[in-house]
Amino acid sequence: MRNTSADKHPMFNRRNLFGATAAGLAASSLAACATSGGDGDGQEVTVGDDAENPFDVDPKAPLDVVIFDGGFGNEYAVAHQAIYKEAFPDAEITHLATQAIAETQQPRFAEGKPADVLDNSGAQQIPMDALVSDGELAELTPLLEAPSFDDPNVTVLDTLRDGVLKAGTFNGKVYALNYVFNAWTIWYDAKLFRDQGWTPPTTWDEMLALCPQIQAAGIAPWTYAGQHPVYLYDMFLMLAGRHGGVQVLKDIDNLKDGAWGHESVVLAAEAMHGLGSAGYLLDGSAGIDHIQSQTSFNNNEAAFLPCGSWLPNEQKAIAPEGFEYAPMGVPPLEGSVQPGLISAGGDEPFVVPKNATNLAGAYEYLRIMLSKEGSQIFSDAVQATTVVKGVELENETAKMTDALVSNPDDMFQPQFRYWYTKMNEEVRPALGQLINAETTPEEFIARMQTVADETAADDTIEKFTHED
Amino acid sequence: MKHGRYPFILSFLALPVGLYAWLVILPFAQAFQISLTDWSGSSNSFEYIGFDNYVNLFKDERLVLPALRHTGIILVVLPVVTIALGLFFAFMLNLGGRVRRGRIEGVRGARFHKVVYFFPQVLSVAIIGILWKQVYAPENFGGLITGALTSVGLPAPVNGFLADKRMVLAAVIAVLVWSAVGFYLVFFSSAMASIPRDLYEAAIIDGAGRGPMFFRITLPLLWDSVQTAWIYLSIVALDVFVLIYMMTPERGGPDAASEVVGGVIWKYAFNHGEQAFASALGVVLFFAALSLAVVSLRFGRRERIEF
Amino acid sequence: MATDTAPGSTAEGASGADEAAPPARNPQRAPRPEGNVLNVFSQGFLWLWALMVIIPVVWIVMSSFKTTREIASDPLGPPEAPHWANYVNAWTNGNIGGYFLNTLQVMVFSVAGTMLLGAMAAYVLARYEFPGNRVIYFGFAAGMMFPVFLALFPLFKTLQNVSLLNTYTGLVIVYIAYSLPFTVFFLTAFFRTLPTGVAEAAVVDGAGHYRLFFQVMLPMAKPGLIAITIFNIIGQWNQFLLPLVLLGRNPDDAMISQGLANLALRQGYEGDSGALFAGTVLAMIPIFIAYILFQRQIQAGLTAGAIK
Repeated sequence: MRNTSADKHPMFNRRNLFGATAAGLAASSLAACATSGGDGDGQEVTVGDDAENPFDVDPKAPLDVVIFDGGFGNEYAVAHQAIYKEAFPDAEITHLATQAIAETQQPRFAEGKPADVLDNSGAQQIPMDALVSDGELAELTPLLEAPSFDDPNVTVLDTLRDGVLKAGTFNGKVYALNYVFNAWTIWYDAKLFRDQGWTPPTTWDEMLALCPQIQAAGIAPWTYAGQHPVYLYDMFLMLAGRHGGVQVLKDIDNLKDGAWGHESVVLAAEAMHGLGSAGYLLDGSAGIDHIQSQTSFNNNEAAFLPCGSWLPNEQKAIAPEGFEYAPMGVPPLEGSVQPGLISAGGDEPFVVPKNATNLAGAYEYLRIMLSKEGSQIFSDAVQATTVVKGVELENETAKMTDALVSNPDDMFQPQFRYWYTKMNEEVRPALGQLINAETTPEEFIARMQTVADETAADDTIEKFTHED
Repeated sequence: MKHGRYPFILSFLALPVGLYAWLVILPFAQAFQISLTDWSGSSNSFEYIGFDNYVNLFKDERLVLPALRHTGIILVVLPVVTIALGLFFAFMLNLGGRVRRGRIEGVRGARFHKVVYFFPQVLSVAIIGILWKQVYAPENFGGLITGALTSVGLPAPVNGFLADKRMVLAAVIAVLVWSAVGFYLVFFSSAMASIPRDLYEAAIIDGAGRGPMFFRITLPLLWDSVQTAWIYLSIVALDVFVLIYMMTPERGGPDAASEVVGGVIWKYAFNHGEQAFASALGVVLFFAALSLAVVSLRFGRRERIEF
Repeated sequence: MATDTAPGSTAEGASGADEAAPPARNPQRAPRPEGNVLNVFSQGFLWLWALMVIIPVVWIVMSSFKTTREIASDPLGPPEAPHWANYVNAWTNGNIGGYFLNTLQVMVFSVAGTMLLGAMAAYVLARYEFPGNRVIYFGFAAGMMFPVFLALFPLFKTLQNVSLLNTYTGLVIVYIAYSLPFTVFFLTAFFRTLPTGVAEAAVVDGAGHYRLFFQVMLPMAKPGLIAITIFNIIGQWNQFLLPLVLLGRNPDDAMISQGLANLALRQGYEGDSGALFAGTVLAMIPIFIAYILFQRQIQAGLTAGAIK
């Protein structure tokens, strides 16, 4: 919907020239902003030889950091800033922790005076596709090419786990560092399964066969955070991807013609629909939030719960005695060609605005975050792993997750949700309707194909594709 | 009183009008200007695209059109129900009681009711949202209404009221009525208090019942207040958004079943990165509200300027 | 004002006597059956509505004394033992005390400013005829229909240009500007209802325009002013979007509503719903006290507004 007629009417193509000609319209401060910020051309950060200070940070330059104050809190960021302060004692650091990222930070982007480092996460994140197509973000290439904090002979890129940059990559350019390593899995209580003598299912059919037994024990087979159907996104797509191979999902992301009509996608939609129509969802699931769904899972009211790796940490204060959080990949459909496929990689995107005042400092800050010490600080604080290699957690659940993500070829994060806000806004309600059997699988497929086609046909939306 | 009239008027109006123009009118003018661009909201570049945003508004069947429909429903239902309940309660509390020595009174406990009914008015929308979300929850998650319905053997939506596409809008409107009624009860009570008691007492001597009394005496004399209430409530109806944001799944769901104009503006501005499109919708909302108010004020009010 | 002889208060005060001597109640005629049916029905309905208000609020207060685990597992039951830690958490970790003081600091000025400027404008608009009167009046009235979130970005810019962004001064003037529409709209109606006789007498005594306003009209308008003050206090106390954007820089400076929203959002991540309920109760208390103390004035003030 953005910019719809601009291409048809070249006379309106005056991007950035507007400030000079708009005097007629109001005493416009908007006009002023069009010329203020500049486009950051004057500022180019290159990687120098000094391994201690590869970006040639001005030691006196202040650093402006904005942290999303969500499930991970912001104490870890304060600790990261202390390390920065150690290296540059004269730098004044502004630290803002907030949940309202869009409300507080969007005006600053518009102003041309954004923060230096922005943890663009949470429900109120600024849409990445808008930031990227507006050219508001700096590429992270200098950071990745720089020597790592701990070993000058190893670049930052080489300290990262495989495949974790994919999530922040837009048409081959890395714009976001997704700091936290996360895998979307299906969770169950290993103790409950042991006590009941149930075997964790390895296929969808096994799962379906187990459901009546679970129900017989007075437990609902499935629950999910019905108010946030986004929790179903990776489950559904992995079901399709495992069946037809990762290419099925890449085609969806690439807006390929008829991608949603692929047999594997249809089968996955039918499988999701089947959970609802067979009555395998906990009563009330559609009306509860993630906290409630996790609580009923903790109470063994439901056997399976789709969620991310953060689940055990989130529940640690209220987990019942003896509860054993165990993750598994979504049980694959019969005939799956890539049954190990898993949605895993980076999460929690940190970005550096192109117009950041202290661009070099921002890169340096991210380099500190990716150091062994910085990464350890984060893991110790929130019991979650970062995307840095070799700083892993030593508990049973973390080991089980690691086993699921051992093969880099099987790691894939579906991207259309991040690339195209419009599709994100459509897939969430559509999945909620599907799993509750309020729509048929055919209607669901048609609905998603329609929005994909609309997105593909809309010239005003910048397109992204997977490289391979 | 002619002496120094205009300097006085000017001195009294300069500051309020100036502040208002600077901080309210001007920003709105800029919002109108933004609505003619393709600005995303997170960039300092944009171009003018004329009225395309306005044209596209009415093609958006996913969010905008349902939102307009729902806002329209709220615009009708909320004032009607709230005013009806407010009038009923006010009448009961002031005139619904026994007749004692030829004097008519409110029902017992009227004062208590007035304090209690008004209470939701002092709760912030955030609190109201948290509260009613729980009241509407599914039965096995502690929902008050679903639990009550099932306990008397009536059917209740298994996923609670807010997750049900058919019920969610009604559920939201009920909360709006709940929180507004107290204000209008007090508002109408105050107006009723100014109606001379003799009128009622004469009616009682004539043997008139409460019903005719209400329709023949109270309502006609309260007509101005009802109109004022109508305008206030219309404004509330057009502004409904934070409650839906706090309460419903996916902030307007399920599947856009409780999407309203305010929420769609918010979504486009902050979730979609389409500030300009959002602004266009805001401008439409503003003019709709304005024309509504002007129409009501024009037809409903006697001009009464003294001096 | 007339409502100070509130019909309700008479009824309640006399209720004891009513029960003692029911037959003396209506000397003229026996109670009509229609009236009784209506009374039973209306009493029932009135109490039903009262319960609909009371139960949820009691539920919040009750939940504020429960542990988070209790809230999750048994949302409706009473607390096993009062869990005061929620209040400690809300007060210290949630910093409700700090936000409370911040809000007070802003509102002392913003409410006073709103009332002064609002009364000045409303008075002139109500009692003086001059070209542009209607335009200004409708200009203010139109502001009530202004969707605030549309103005957020331009406002951000405007305040930044005059270096008032992230300052309490900036927030105060914005609060005043955005409270003016309702205040002016309502007070204009109120000033119109004031009797002209007193004003004319004062003029005969030689009072100028200013003295007339400050010494005669303002005191006469007291009931209306108090009522609108209360509404502005409630409105500004609960204001959420404006401080969020205009005071986004330093979280320690935040207003109470933001503090509460922070608690609500944090609850979504950390699940500390006990602290959320405690914070909610804490934020409710001052407004509730103000309402109980001034409810008579609110009703009195509304009278004048209601009978334009």
